[in-house]
Amino acid sequence: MPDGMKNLTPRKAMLVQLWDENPIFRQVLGICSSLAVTNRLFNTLLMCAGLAWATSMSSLTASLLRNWIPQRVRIMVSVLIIAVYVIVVDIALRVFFAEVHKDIAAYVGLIVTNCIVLGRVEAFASKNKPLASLADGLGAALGYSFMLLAVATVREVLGFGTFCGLPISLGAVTLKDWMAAHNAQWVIMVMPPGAFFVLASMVWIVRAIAMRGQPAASEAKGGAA
Amino acid sequence: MKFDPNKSPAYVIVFAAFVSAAFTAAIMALHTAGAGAVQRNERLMEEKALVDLFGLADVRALSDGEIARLVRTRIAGYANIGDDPADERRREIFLTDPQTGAKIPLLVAFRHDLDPRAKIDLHDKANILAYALPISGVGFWARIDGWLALTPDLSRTVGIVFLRHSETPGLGGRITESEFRDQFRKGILATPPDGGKYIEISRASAGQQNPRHVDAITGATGTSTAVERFVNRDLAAFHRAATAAGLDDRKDTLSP
Repeated sequence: MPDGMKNLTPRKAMLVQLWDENPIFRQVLGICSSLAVTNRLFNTLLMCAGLAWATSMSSLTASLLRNWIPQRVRIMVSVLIIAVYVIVVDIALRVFFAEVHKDIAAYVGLIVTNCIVLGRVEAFASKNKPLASLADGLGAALGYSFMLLAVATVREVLGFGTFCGLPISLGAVTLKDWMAAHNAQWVIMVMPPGAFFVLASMVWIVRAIAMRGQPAASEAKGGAA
Repeated sequence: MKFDPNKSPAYVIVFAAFVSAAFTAAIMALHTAGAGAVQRNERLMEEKALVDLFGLADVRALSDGEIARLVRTRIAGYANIGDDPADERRREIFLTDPQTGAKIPLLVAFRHDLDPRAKIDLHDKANILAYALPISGVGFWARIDGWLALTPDLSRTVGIVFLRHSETPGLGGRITESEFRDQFRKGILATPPDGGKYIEISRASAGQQNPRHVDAITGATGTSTAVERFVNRDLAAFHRAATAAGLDDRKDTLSP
């Protein structure tokens, strides 16, 4: 962990994960799930909520226990903590969103192996105070979520002609009906490769925005004109 | 003196055992607390699927209680509802495939409410709305289970539902969406074919004039092919069993 990451305030810890160290467009972590769940906005929303819960609560719990966890079983305990919170997500979905659970159950289980969750627990929560760890985990999940929701919006609109399952009106017809009538569904947007294209484009755009106003590397180093 | 958790091997073992037991107990408690709701949800989803399969009503317009009542009073052969062992409607119905000896469960939807004490007459075609046979097989990823409903003369489809599957969301998973299932509601010809398939699931342009044609799901060829394969296999077995049981008296013959 860089020295700058130690003893951050909760607010700073969250902001760093939201933008400066955003897991998707800075660290390129958690990409696997972006392929699987982003062709429907509602499914993505629930997946992101599940990940936010698992990441923030795992970080909080790991931080609370950090002074008692022996180094030799550190990873085992971290995975155990994460698995518990992911199972909570799975049970909550079964109880409150049974229909959606049928669609994304396989991917919910995979949150356990999401590198963002274990990454934040290992890199931050195991060395920082509980509140800062909670904010760091939540920030990472929100940073992941806003990118995935943007990807899901593009994919669902272009692939299905709907927004969060709702029809998009084009006046007399809906976009979905218009697409069906003109055979204009962008099928690749529904398929996993579509996520790669959209995600890559988004990372490019967001990085370009983030770099705006920053001096070029050669200027920053005082290189030759 | 500050506590060092790394010094004692015994502490490592005790700590690992303790956190494992504590977290496992917490999950078991949560699982037990939610078990009732999960079971209710699963049953409700199955009941909704059956009402939708037979076209008994628009499930979106009904309460959970009304859906359960429809299943209890109009469908025979569905054992997962009610707890009265003398209720004839709950008695499971099986046909036997004479070729393999396999028993095929049968659901029968009636046009009117059934008397719980009266024996179910499978040949009462005037009052039978549809028969349903189970369909199942391996999809693109894993097993798919569902029901296919046929008209009383077994000539055309009335509907199809998929209760369990692990197909890719947004791709093969779209077999559960109305866009795919509504095609079966329109009455696909399902009589024994003359050498070909009972039902053909292929791309839209391939079967405009074919009464056995169902549009495949774009981008999910593996799932579409798998569904076609096991639906044809199960339909063939069902027709053999229905003929042996004297149910197959279709008037709508091989012609479209």
